[in-house]
Order: sequence, then structure tokens, then C-alpha cells
Amino acid sequence: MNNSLRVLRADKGWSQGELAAVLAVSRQTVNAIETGKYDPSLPLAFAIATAFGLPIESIFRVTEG
Amino acid sequence: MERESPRWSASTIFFLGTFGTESRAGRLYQNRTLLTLIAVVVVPVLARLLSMPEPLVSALRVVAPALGFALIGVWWVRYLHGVDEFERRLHWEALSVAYAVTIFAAVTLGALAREFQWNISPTTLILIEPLRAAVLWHKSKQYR
Repeated sequence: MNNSLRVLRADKGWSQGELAAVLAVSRQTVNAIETGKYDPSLPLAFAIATAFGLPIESIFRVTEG
Repeated sequence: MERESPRWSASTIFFLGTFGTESRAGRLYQNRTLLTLIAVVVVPVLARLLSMPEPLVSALRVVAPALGFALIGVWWVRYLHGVDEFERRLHWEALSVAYAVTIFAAVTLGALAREFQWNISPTTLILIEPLRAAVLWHKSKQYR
């Protein structure tokens, strides 16, 4: 799975720490999601989508293979 | 775009066994554990200073650490419930590896001790803690 979290966060002008505070997770968690090292749970993915006001599928995409 | 450190502090992982005090769960765990450890040391010392009967002081020396570490176990479970999902996942992975290695080591050392009449203290099982911390540190680097 890949995502456009880093780009969306940059558009908003948020630091990882600021986004982490909004999502109530650690900064390292935001980093791990942005770098594709960790796929968030469905509740966290919904929280991310809500934070950016976008549908989940426009942030997270399933990669082929 | 700013670049923030994706890492958790290695010293925190090795000395506290957690991801530190940035989270509320981390702060609570550290404070509760510190107070519990102080009580484990202070209670038996206080009993001796107050000239309590020796059997009572003796009993406290056994019971205080047992109760203290049981409490720390409770604080640990609460900490795990309090951290976010990614941190919890890393902790579980570290615990799984440490558990498997400890079972293997306990069985192997037990067999060796029986065969060669070695006197191995059960307290050596506390070595699971630095092992868990090392695995946690390694796992946290993998997900960097």
C-alpha cells in the first residue's frame, strides 16, 4: 500500500509533530506511515482522512503485486 | 518540507524499556514505576529503622519486591494500552521475540544445569528485559 500523506501534510504546512498531535499518535508513527513502513489500522486511516477532509481512497492506494 | 528525526531515543529504549515520555502513557509508566521502585527499597529499610521484629522485616524483604514487580507489570500493561497502535505493534514484536528466546534459554539452561549440576539463579531470567529492549530498538530501526 502506498499513500500521499507526506504531500498532503506539506500542502497543509503541518509538521509531522503537528499531524501526530491531531491524530493522537507519535511523530514516529506518522513518519512510518509516510515512508510506507507501516500501514495504519482502519480507524487511524479514517482519522487521517478526516484530518485532511478527503476520502480514504484518495490518500491510500493498494499497490499491485 | 522539514526533516524530523524518525527515531526513538536508543537510551530511552534501553534504560526505560519504553519509547519515552513524549506520550501520556509513557510519562505515567515512568512515574508509576519510579514510585513503585522507591517503595520497594524504602519499605524494608523503614521497617528495619523502626526496629520492627526480624521475621516481619524478613517477610517484607521478600514481599516488597514481589508486589512491586507485580505492580510494575500492571503499569506495563496499562502503558501498552495507552500507546498508539504502531508503538504497541513494535512492543508486541519485541515481546514475542524475547519470549521465544527466553523459553529456549530456560529449557536449555535447565537441561545443562541438571546435567552438570550448575547452580543457576532464577533471577537470571531478568535478562529477558535487556533482550526485549535490544529487540525493540532493532525493530524500531527497521520501521524507520
